[in-house]
Amino acid sequence: MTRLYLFFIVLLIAAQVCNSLSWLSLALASNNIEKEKPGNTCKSIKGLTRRQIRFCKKNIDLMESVKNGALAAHGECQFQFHKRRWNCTLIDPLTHEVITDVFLNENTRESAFVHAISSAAVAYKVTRDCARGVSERCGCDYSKTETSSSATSRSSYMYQGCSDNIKYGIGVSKEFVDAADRRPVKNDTNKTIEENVHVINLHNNQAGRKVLENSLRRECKCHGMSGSCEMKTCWDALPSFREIGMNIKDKFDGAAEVKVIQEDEKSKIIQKNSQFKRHTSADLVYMTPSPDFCEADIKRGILGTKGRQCTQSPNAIDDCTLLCCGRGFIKKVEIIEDKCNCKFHYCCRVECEPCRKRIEKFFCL
Amino acid sequence: MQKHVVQFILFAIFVNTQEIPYNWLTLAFVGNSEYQPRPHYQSFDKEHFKDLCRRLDGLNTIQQTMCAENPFAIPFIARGVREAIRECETKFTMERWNCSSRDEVTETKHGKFQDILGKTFRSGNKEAAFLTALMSASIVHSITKGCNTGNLTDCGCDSKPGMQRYIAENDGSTALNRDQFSWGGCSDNVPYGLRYARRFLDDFDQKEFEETKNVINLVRKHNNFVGREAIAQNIRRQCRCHGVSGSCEFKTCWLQMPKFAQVSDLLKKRYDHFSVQVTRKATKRLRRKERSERKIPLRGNEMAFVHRSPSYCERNDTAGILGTTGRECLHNSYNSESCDLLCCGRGYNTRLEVRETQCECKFVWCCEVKCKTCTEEVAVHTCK
Repeated sequence: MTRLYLFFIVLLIAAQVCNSLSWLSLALASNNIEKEKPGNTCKSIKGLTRRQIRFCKKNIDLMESVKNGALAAHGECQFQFHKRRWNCTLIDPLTHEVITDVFLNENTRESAFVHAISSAAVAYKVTRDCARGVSERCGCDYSKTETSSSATSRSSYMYQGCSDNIKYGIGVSKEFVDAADRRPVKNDTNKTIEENVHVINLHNNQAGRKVLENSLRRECKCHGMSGSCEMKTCWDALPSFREIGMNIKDKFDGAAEVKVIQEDEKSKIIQKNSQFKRHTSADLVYMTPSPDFCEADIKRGILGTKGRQCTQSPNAIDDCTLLCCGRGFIKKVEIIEDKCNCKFHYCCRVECEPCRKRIEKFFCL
Repeated sequence: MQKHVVQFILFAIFVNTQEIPYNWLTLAFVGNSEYQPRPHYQSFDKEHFKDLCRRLDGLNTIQQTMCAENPFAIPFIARGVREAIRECETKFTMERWNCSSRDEVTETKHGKFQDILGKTFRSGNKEAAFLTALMSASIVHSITKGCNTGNLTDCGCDSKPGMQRYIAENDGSTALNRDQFSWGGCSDNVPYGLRYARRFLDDFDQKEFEETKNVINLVRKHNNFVGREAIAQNIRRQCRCHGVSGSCEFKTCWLQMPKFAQVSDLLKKRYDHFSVQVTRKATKRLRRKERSERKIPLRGNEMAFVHRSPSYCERNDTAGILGTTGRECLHNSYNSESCDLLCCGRGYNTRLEVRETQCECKFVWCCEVKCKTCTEEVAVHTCK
């Protein structure tokens, strides 16, 4: 009996070791985070590593933001990839577990994107919640002193607004998201390979946060007489998360293929092809070229493109010939009820006639 | 042009089969050195012409006959094809199909035969439709130009320009004697060019269609027509006034065909917006594939195609597709040339290139401009 128990524990640890994105299942977790019993709550969350559970227990009030971050990352990933062959199906809707972890662990470009977007999303949501006053530990960032006000002669008074406390958010993201990749490697045979995977993941996490940091914008409001800029309040604000998603998607397109070498007992990421430009700290990197995602490979978490909806526009990314990988597609005609010939009658109603519209939809075979 | 020829040869694969397909676009390689018809004074020159034309691989029987009748037209057609290929390449630089293909090269008795753009040309898809129309227009254009400049002896300026379709240019003259003018100058002899092109291209396809009932021949014939129409519909009347102190008492007008760049612009628009898929079988005329529109005949501004185009993303040697790997793309763009779309989602590599430019130019009295050479680093993105 004890042996069986031990076996299960080993299994549990093994399962935890291979998943660096499992915590994203928080996105679809239905249960609310109860702040009264941190111990029980944190243990009941699926997919957290031991470090992350420890973080959770200490910072239970931040977990709601982390959960929202997972949700935002998942949603943004699905938005950015919904026209592509791999449409960012991350979480199994039935079991609420991260399913695509297997191929994402191969350090592909897609994996780089998911790591970057999720670490950026956690930092983003925590920062926003801080500014909204949700958490007691953080508030606005007043660290930026008004040095610029003296230089610009036009604005005589400058008050500081509530700047997004991005440093705190980034710190939380570093601690929580990176925790999944900061764990001792136990398996001796694959030690270097597994370590390299962590190095790449950590770089991409950092790249996501860097993109977030770079997108901070200074916003100002004037409140002088009749809108003049005698008095001005300025603050740094984050743009919408969509914009950050777009930027990270750009980084995904230009991601660099790299390898990891050991230099002075330190892991260093270098370009695979020295002719190409060296990546910066805000660029995504990957080691393994992606599969073509055409055929389903459930074991690796690839669903294939069969049954996906496509369009008939030759240069688009979801064009049928490209998305269906040349297998062909079928046309389905749908008739939908719509309103038309609407007229406004005085006063005040609008009358419409029901009419039928024919819509053509295409699906991959 | 030299650059383009080199480019084609790079893409070429050598194949040793005797059977070569008909592809008159190979005329693009006809240079002045090997093809020099002697002006005919003696009767045996006809044999000389025939012999010369027989060496032009890729021409079909009708084209051979026409060549033998007037071998002096061939260099004009050749120049036209080269210009058309250049136009096609510029119009498609930013698309997945950039007017290139992997051409097969065959050894023949007369040297090497390169099946330039042949696989696309014969494929029956939208790109083939564009190429066909563009090449047909190029013949009309180059032959007409040859007539106009007096280099082709069989034709000259149009003696009856009033018989042509044309657009009267609004030249700002007073309404009073606006319509009083006399034809003069040298009007482009487009009717001759049209006749020539029709015979050079259409007759063979018509014959083939009657024998084989292959719809591709009919489609090609239609697209030839679209190409000719692109010129015929856009002939403009140009006028000049000559009265006392520039008044419009006497007006002389002549007809001018559009510039070839304009024609290719128009055809590109038709390729983009007015391409119609037709059924795979046809007994007499082309029918639209769309069931509800079957009864509407194809118009002269609609290109016809039978097969859907491939994605052109991945390399495919049997279809002669090069794929987009290694193509240069634009980073900050949302059009077809954006890295995302051009690279088909595979992503891109970035390379830093040092480019030398002239900068800080100053005018030095008198009279030269002195510049410094600056080096700047440019990021070049290429598809994975």
